Amino acid sequence: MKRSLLLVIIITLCFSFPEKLFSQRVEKGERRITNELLKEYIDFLASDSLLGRRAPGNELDLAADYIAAQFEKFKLDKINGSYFQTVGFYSQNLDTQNSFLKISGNNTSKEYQLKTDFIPFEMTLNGSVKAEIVFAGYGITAPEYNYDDYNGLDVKGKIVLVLRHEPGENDTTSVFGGKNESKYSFLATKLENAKKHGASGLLLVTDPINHIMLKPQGYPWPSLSKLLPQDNLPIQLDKRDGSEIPVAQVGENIIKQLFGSVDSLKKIQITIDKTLKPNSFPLAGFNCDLSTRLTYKEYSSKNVVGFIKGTDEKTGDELVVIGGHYDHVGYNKEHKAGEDYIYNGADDNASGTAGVMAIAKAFTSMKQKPRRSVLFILFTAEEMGLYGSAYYSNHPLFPLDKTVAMLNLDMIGRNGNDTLNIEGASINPDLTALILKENESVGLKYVPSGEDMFGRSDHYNFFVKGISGVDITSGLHKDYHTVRDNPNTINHTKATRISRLIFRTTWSIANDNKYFKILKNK
Amino acid sequence: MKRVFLTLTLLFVFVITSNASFGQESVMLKYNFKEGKSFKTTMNLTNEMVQSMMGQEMKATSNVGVVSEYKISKVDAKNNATALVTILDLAATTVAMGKEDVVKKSDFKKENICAEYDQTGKSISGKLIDTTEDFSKVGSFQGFVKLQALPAREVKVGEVWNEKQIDTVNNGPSNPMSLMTTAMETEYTLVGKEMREGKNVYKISYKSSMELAGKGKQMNMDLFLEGTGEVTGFFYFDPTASIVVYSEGNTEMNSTITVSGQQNMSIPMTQKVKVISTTVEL
Repeated sequence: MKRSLLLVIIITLCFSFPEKLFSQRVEKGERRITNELLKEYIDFLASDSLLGRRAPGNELDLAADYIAAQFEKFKLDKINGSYFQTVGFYSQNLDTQNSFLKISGNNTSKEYQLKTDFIPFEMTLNGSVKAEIVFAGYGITAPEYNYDDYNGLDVKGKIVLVLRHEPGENDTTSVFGGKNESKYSFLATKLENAKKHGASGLLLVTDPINHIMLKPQGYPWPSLSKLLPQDNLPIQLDKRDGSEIPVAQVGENIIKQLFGSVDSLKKIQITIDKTLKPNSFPLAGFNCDLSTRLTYKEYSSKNVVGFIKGTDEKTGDELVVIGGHYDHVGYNKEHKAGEDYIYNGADDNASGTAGVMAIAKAFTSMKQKPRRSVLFILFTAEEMGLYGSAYYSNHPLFPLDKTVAMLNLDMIGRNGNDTLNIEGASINPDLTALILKENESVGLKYVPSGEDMFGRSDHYNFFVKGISGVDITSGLHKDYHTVRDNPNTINHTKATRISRLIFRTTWSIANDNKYFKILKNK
Repeated sequence: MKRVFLTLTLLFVFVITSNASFGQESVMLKYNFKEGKSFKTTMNLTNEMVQSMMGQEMKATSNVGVVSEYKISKVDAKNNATALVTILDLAATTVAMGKEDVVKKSDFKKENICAEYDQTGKSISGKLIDTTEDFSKVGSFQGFVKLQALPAREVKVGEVWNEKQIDTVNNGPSNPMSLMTTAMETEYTLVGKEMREGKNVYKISYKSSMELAGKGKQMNMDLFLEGTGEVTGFFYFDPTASIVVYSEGNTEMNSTITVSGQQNMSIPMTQKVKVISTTVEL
């Protein structure tokens, strides 16, 4: 009996000792994350000298250099010899001098007016095309509805003219979307379909049955406007892939030249809508010369990255990503003297950035290296539309199929001492359960959210790629996106507690072999 | 972003309300207001708005119903009339991005707006009486007090006349589009006499083209609006009461909101708006 009791004690000790040791290690790392450390990082990142860290910009680059210098100090590994992943952006404008539309045929030749008669589409090629014109109905191929405007039509190397919208636009019994429109109504879908069928150009015309306004509807190129600012063009992430074709939306005068009258086109549309049978045909004898020329401005910015290689033979190449955005919205160029004009973004998201940095420091202070690899990444241009993380998810530094989870910190320093929001909790049940389990040691009060914000930070671009990703946040507040989001409003204790929680969670994921399911359809 | 979308929806509702409604054998087409008379107007507006970006589209629909009472408090020597307008009931529903927002209000205090009109229906002056925060949430008040434009002269059946109108509305700094200019060219036709609800009325049809321009600020970003549109519709003029008793108008518009500042973006939008308005003498 005594002997068997001794055996039980020994066995119990054997099993409980590693867990205790693990816990002690985590606590040791956790203690590296302090209010003072978070304050130091936030105070720098949200200082006036960084002018609100707008992307792209020199001040944001200073913030990137600061984060990279800290990563170097922590002895995080570089990736491909660098702590940076360069992200390219561009803005585009229409070159009105070199953009034109000419249509000849049936003994007539007309050159049309920009804006009045045609407007190049925002996704057009910077180039030109000269070809015959083919009318392809609504430009839709929808096998599930047994409907194909391109059926038996040869459009290779030709310019396709299609109607906007879809059959039965206002018909609640339409097999398409009716009043709600289906994806087939989208111009992007029509463009892809035209390219897929080998078209060399695309003209879009408003369908005349359901619309009284037949003027070309198109992208508001600043160069076509007297009112819109010319020097402040929208910046986009570089999505050009070389497959572009010239595309323009055209108006009533072009309809009249090609079909004789608007009524003729109406009759064709009525037949298509009524029978749901395509009525596509070459516009025999008509040739189109379309030039859509663009001017570009190129910009770049950086995601900041640091890496710890996993030690486990089997799972070492699997990756946990912990990140947040380090950019904010900049400053007001026009302001009165003495007025606060800098959007310091202390909570949004100097706090989350500081959290990621502090967690990186805690990781590198641990004697034991994680079994799985850990990527620390601070994204640029979140405020412009999650551009930094979109770029990463399309140009990943490590295989996405080996990325097991993404923990995003965005605004972690406000709204009291002890509340915790997890955006995406309901669709990331396993990952959320783990965070809440780790929270038992940290003691934050979990406040389930309505998930309205799920698509509004960088974890979203991982989630859409099938990776479990949540945003850890302390929530919105009255100073959100105002000049009042200053360092002196930050609750460092709160930011520290959330950072410690995410350190524990990341450490747990990195030293385990768990995978996390996501509920994409929810 | 969603907030910006909704704000713009409401903004456009009021822009359209204020501009889609227009001005009516031989008949004198003018307003002849009498002191002490009251009218009740019921207006219903449906708006479909599609924002597009990189070929993807986002649709929002809204429905606004307004019941208002006009009490003619004074008519001067030039036959200009002063009306005290009370918004009796307001209901607005917006559906965007799968979410529905509903605003209902029927307990405004009496006499919210004071408006002065000439015989063409042109608003000479307008003043907000109800300055409570509650009413300020309703938005631009000009949209509620706009009357159909009449030529204030004898018009023969079949006659066609044209009107050019430029309105600049200063909505004040609290409105995201603080300054709005609308230029409209309208062609009217006196179609003829009809019986409607036991009364002889005259039907006037119209067709307009319009241009919009606006400037404003929101969250310290500069907002610019530019747009063009076309309007078709008709209305009935009751020669006995000298008021427009029914109007129906359809508007289509292409416009762009450009945001410049912390964030730069251009949001092209297309809109289809239908406005039906009925007025009865009380």
